[in-house]
Order: sequence, then structure tokens, then C-alpha cells
Amino acid sequence: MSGDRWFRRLLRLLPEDFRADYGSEMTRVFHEERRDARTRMDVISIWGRSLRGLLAIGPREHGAQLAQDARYALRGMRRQPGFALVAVTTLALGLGANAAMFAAVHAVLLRPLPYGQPDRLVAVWNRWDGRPAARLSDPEFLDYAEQARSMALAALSTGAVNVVAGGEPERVQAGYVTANAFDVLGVLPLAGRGFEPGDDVPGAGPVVILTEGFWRRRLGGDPSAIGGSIRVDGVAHEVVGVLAASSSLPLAPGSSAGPDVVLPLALDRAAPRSRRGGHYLRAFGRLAPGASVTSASTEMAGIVARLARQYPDEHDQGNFAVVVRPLDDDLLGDARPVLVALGTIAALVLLLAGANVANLLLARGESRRRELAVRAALGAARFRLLRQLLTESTLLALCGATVGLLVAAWCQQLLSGLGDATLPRIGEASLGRPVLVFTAILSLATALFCGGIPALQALRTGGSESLKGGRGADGTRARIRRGLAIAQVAIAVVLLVAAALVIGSFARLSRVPTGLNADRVLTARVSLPESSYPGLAEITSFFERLIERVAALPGVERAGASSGLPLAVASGDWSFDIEGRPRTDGRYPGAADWYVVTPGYFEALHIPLQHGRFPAPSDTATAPRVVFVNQQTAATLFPGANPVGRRIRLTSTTGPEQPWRTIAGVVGDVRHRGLGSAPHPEIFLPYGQFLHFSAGVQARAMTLVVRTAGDPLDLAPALRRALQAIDPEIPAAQTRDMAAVVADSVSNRRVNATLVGLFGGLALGLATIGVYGVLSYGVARRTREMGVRQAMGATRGDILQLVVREGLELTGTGLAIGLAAALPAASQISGLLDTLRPHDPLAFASAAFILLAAGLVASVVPARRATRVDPAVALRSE
Amino acid sequence: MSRDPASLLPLTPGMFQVLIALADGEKHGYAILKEVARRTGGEVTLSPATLYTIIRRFVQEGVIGETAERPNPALDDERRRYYRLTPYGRKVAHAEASRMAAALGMARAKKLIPKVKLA
Repeated sequence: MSGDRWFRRLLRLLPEDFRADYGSEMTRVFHEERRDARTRMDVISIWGRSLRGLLAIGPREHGAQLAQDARYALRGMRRQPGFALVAVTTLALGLGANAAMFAAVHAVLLRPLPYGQPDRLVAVWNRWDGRPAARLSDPEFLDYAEQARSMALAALSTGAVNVVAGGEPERVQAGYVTANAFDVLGVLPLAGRGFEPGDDVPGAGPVVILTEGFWRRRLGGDPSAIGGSIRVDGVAHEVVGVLAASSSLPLAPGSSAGPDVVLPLALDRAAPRSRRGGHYLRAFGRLAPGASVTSASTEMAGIVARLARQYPDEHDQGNFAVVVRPLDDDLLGDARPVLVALGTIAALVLLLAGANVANLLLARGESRRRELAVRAALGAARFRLLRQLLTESTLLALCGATVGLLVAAWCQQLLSGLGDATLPRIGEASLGRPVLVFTAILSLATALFCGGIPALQALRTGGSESLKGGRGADGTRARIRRGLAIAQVAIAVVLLVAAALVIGSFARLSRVPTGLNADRVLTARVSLPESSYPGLAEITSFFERLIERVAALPGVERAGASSGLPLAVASGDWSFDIEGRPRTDGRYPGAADWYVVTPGYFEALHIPLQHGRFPAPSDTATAPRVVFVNQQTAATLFPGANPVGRRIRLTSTTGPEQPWRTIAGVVGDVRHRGLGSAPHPEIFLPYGQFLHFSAGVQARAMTLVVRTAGDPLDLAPALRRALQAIDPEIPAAQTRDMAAVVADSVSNRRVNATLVGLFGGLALGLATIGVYGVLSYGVARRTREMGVRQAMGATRGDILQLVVREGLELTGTGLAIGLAAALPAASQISGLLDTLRPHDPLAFASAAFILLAAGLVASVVPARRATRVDPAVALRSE
Repeated sequence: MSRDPASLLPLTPGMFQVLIALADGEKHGYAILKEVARRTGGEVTLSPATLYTIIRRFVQEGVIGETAERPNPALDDERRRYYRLTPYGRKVAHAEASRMAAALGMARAKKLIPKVKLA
């Protein structure tokens, strides 16, 4: 008999109702055929035929039913276009937000790095107390690279160079890499060659590799450019190759745009390695076969311990060590927490949208109860009815997903405003196949969620009871709808709290005093090539003439320059001795971020003077050496005292011995490293007296700051002309208004605030509709009760109060649950907050207030409708 | 059923054979299957799934009906279901046969049918 059993099992390929109608008949026929078979061959051919029949007919029948269900669902949507519109829009917003978030997650987190075997790549950092990841100095990198056996190490640094290639001079981003960098990364150039071992030796013939973007933009993608030459900082360089746009250098998040040109990083391997300061190199490596991050870390710990014994004075920072970690972790930076926070918020919006549509479908289920009951009574299989209902919700969700892709494209534009600094590779996010597949799967899951609840509910009560017009199931359905509304309110509270926190944090951040006056200030970066400006004398003379010319332009109130620019260009720190204060355990008594400034810089930015004087034209190389400090330096290093007149001496690595400098002035603090971070100690060196800690290094790149009487951008052409008049090969880069510099420094926070605010507003709207829907339905259902109450003498006020109280009960319950959930949830978005604690009471209170107000509005409308019930009509209605 | 029988045409060979099998009286599924195989010399062999897809479609369209009457219960299993041609189904079979005859006529006129003596 087992043949029949097998056959019965195979019948499951057919739709359920088909099987129910004819399954036993088919089994019987199959049985009889085999019974009457004469030969073994007959039996085999009966099996084959039966199997083929089932395999061909099963899918066809399923498809036909599905098409029928879909046609039926479409008819339903056409009958109630308002319902379809609301449901599709709601789902489109939820699904669209999630599609965009997934596109970002996919581009930033999920895609492997564009290198060969990226999981074998590591980043190598120094670390010491207070600096979890510090760059490497030349001697450190060379020692690590020469001694490490578990990995091949390469180094990278960035800068900016002036390039002349077919046309105007242009200031572009440059990457400097050791010759082995492309081998370590496993990257082949798009055309030409990569760097070769001889290229990074000091004194080698100058070569340059162009990035694809630069090659196309400036040279029209001309293949003959390879082998030709371009001028980099005034020196002709041979173009040896082009690097594909997809294989950018592994720069850290937060670094500015990727490089336009790549130059060999010439490290002097023969130089003495006893001076080990000057940390500016990023190092990355490829693990040797058999090595792991752990084994490489162990090896590096041994190497560092040996070096620390060899150069004890140069490892004076607390707990000096080396960190080896996977390169992708390194490059992702803060992207993971930001994306997880935004992704969770988007998922909650979808949950809310799903609950809303489920509620709509439940409400519609009421009106279709009899229709479903009739169909069930006519013998439609339960499964078939369930599928019918799910087909409807699937159709809604798929329409929602299609419209949602438009929403996603728009969200994505917003997201890419976060920029590579926050989300590396976000610019490469696209609504490609992975996003489409994700969205399709998500919309099916959504359909199952928002269609499943009402479908099961409709089926459970779809039987005889409904035909009789009974109301027993109403209680259950109302409970489900109330539960959904409460859940919506609770989710909305969480999202509103998040929105209040992120927006509040951004608002506070925008109000943080910068310490300078950014109005009517033009800034431009000017950088001098070494070939035509080899020393301090040439550089100072250039900037003196430039500032003199610019200051004389009509409409200019004051002009100056600095090696940095607040909120845009920051420097590292520089240690120094303080006269009369000995080093402890070899540690310098002072350290501060350092900038080179010209006279007029502080005045142009309206940075106030606290003590002493500002830099003056008399601070020349032959005058007594002076230095200026900010208030933070004064307060931390000379607490309670006026430091003017005290002397400090900066450290030197390969550069000349530094002189003692007298502190000549104290200036106000500026939030140089971002509005969200407190001012660092800073020192300012007059540009005429500058001596770098490394041999041969000058402050060649300075940012001009020009205070104008009118619109600062109007001055830009005159500024460029002044520059051209002195040296036509020098471009003015990043010509910006200082107010724009300040705004740009918080642009990613603005995008976060916009996104989370939009999600919060959406949530509020959806939850309000949810509460409103439940109450209106309740009022409609209780028309008779309202009539009776009025007939018994209840006033309109009583009725109003009755409905509003019910609404506020719903809202209040949701609010309580939501606030409880928001407490732990808020901690999860701390990555999006700078100036607020995640449990800021004001944010919680304002979210609660807004929600209660919305709940009140959602209750008053149905309540007023309830008061308009005519008792006579209501009593006659049943 | 006042529908135009032609709306169901053309029928598949399997469908047409089922109608022919039922033309001379009601039959149960297995009997239809055997009759079709015998009549076509094994050229048209229906699997149970194919047969019941046809039967289901025909029942839905009103081409055939399930009979309540049973042959002598002693000869037969009571659980068997029997099918017979409805008057509408007879029209459908007639329409299909005419369609095929017309097509044959055309083929014959163009001398596409070899002259074979029918036994």
C-alpha cells in the first residue's frame, strides 16, 4: 500500500481545494491503474506519467489561483481607492525609508573593501594614554616595517599640491604612499603601472599616479597622458599610471575627499632613527600566510618593547604600544553606530506603518465580514481565504515598495549629505539589485504582518456567526485594534524622543559660541611649492606681499593668515618645556595644538585678546622669539596666573634646536576641532619666526582670512587677481565664506537631525491616525449607546468627555509603555548626540507633550461626531 | 448554461477524449482513463492529475456533471464518483467535432490527407 501513500504525499503539490475535492479520487485511480498493470514496465510508466502530471499541473494551478486572487484584490482596491491610497502611501514611506537605510548599510558596512583579499588587511597604529590611535613617525614606520615578519607594511600620508596639467593651476588632494602600497592592497592600476621599488627612494626621478577622476576631469581620460608629464608643485613629474576610481586609498573616515594624485612617499631609510617624534603616517599591512591579527599584535608588542628599551627617551608617553586591527574596522569608524541607530529608527517607522495598515485592514474586515462568511459557507477552503486576504496585503505592500523606491531615492540624497566623513563609501550607495531584493523580501514580510493579523481574525470569525450578523467577535477585534493603536503610540513615543534628542542636540550645537565672529569673512587656502619657495624668507615675503595687497583691496577691513582654520583645518599637538618646570619621568610639562599665524589673523576673525598683545609685523626672524597661547593653555598650564612673560621651548625631532620663546599674548578660546568638542590648549607661532620640528619643513600652506565690509564672496575674484599678480602658478583653493565653514562643520549633524526629525514626524502622524481610527470606529459602532445615553439625559459634554477619555486612555497607555522603552533605546543613539545626555528630561517631556496633544486632537474629532448623534435616529437604527 | 459552447474551443486532445468517453453514458474516473487509452490505442494517456484537472474544469464550466445515481451497489463501490455529459457539454463536444471536421475538410481539399482505406 505504500505506493498509494507516496502518491497521496505527492498530491500536496496541488492547491488545497483541488486536493480536497479530488484527492481521494485521484488516489483511487492511481491505485486501480497499478492494480491492472500487467508488467513491471507498465507500473514504471504509470509512476512516470503520474509524477509528470503532478509536477506540470501543481505550479500551474497555484499560479492560476494566485492570478485570480490578485485580480480580485485589484478589484477591491479599485472599489475603495481612498483606502488603497492611504495604505500604499503609509507602506511606501515605511518601506522607502528602510530601502534607503539598507542601501547605505550595504554600501558602507556589508560590501567588502575594494582590495584583494580584504580580510587579510590590517591597520597599524601607535597608542598611548589619551591617544587610542596615533599615527606613526618615519623611524617608527621603518622599524616596524623592517622587523615585522607576520605582515608586509605600507605607509600613507595625505597633503595638497598645486598641479598644472593642461590649463589653469589647481590645488588638489595628494596621497603619498610607499612604493609597496599597491602590492599590499592587492590593487592593480587601471592603466600604466603602479609604483616600483626605486620610486620612493629620496632623489628618485619624480613620478606621479593619477586617480581616474582627475585623469578624466583634467586630461579627458587621454591614454597618451601616461608617459607624459604634469607639473606638481612646480616640478615636472612623469605620469606612470592611473588608479581606478573604485580602488581608492584606505583613508580614515573624517579625512577629506580622496586624493586626486598619488605620489611616492620618500622615506629616508639611511637617516638616524633616534628622534622618533612627528607622527603623521598611516600604516596598513597585509598579513603573511598563516599569520593572524592576534599573532601580528603579539609580534608587534615584542618589537615595540625592544624599541622602547633602545630609545627610552622617545617613548615617554604613558603605556606606549602598537595596535593591529582589521582594516575594515578601522575604516568604518563611527559609521556602524550611526547606521545602526538610523536603521533601527527606520525599522520602527516600518513597524508603525505596518500596524497602521493592519488596523486599516481590520477596519475593512468589518465591512467584508459577511462577504467572507458567504464565501466560507459556499465551501471556499480556509487556506484559500487566508491566501486571498494575504494576496491583498501583498499587493498593497508591493505597490508600497514600488512607490517607496522613490522615497528611498530621496532619503538617499539626504543620507549622502552625511558625507564620506561619517559614512565611508556612502557616495557609492545605489538602489541596485541587493536593495531591490531586500525591499522585495521586506515588503513580503510586511504584507504577512499587516495582512496576517486581520486575515486570521477574519477567518476565526468568518464562520456562521457572522452570517447571523452576530457581534461576539467584535470584542476581540476591538481589543486587537486598541492593542495595535497602543503599540503605535508607544513606538511613536520612542521615535519622538529620539527626534527630540537629536534635534535638541543639534540646536544646542548650533548655538555653541565658536569663539570667533564668522560673519563677513572670506577664507582661502594658499599653498606654496617647495621648488619656487624653498625657505622661510621666500615664504614670509610672499605672504607679507599677499596680505598687504589683499588688505588694500576696497571693502577689506582686515586680513591675516594661519596654517590652520577653525572648524576646517586642525593640527596635531607639539610638546614643550616650560622654563623653571622640570620634566617628570622624561615627560614634557606642556603640549598644545599649534598653528602658525600672521599679524591680523586674530583681528580679522574677531578673536579677543585677553592679555598682552597680538602678533605684530615686528615679530621677525631677528626679533626676540615670542609665542601666543589661548586661554585654555593659560588655564591648564599656568592656572590662576597671567602667563605673559613666561618662556617655553618646543621639542625638535630632526629639525634645528628650538629657541626659548616668551609668551607675548593670550587670546580667547576657539572651538577649533568642532563645535561639539571643547577647546584644546593651543599655541600660535608668528610666521616670521617659525621653525618646524623636522628638518626642511616649512609652513607652506596657509589659510587667508579676510574681514570685509560687504558680502565676503564678492571679494573672491579680487582676491584671486591679487594672488595671480604675485605668482600666476599659485591657485586659491577652498574659497569659502567663514559662516559656510561653520555651517559645514555641523552638516552631518544637520542631516541626522533632519532624518530623525522626519521619521519622528512621520511616526507622530501615523500614531495619530491610528488612535483616530480606533476611536472613530468605536463611535460608529456605539451609535446606539450614544443615543441611549443622550435619551437618558447625558449632556453633549458628558458624551464628549466619554470619548475623549477613552482616547486619552489609549494615548496614555501607549505613552507610558513608550517612555519606558525609550529610556534604554535613547542610550543606543548616543552616537548621534554631542551636546545632550541620552536621558535629557526636556527631550522626554517634549516628546510626551507633543504626543498627548496629538492624542487629544485624534480624540476630539470622533468625540464631536458622537455628540452629534440624534438619539431618535440612533435608537431606530437596530 | 446559455453560454456559447464555442467559447471553450479549441479543446486539448485530452479534454476532447474525455468528452467522447462520456458521450455514451456516465463513467467514473478510472473508467474514463481506460476508455481514452483503449480508444486512442495508447496515444492519449492521461495521468490522474491531468484527468482530474480536466474534470474539475469541466464541472466548473458546466460541461459535465456529477451524477447522484449509482449502478447496482453490489457491482460498485459507493464512494466512487460518476460523471456524465450535460446538454451544454454535448453541445461543446459537437462544436469541437465540427471544428475538427471543418479543418479536416480543408486539409482534404488541399490534398494534405493521404488516401488510406479505412478498415
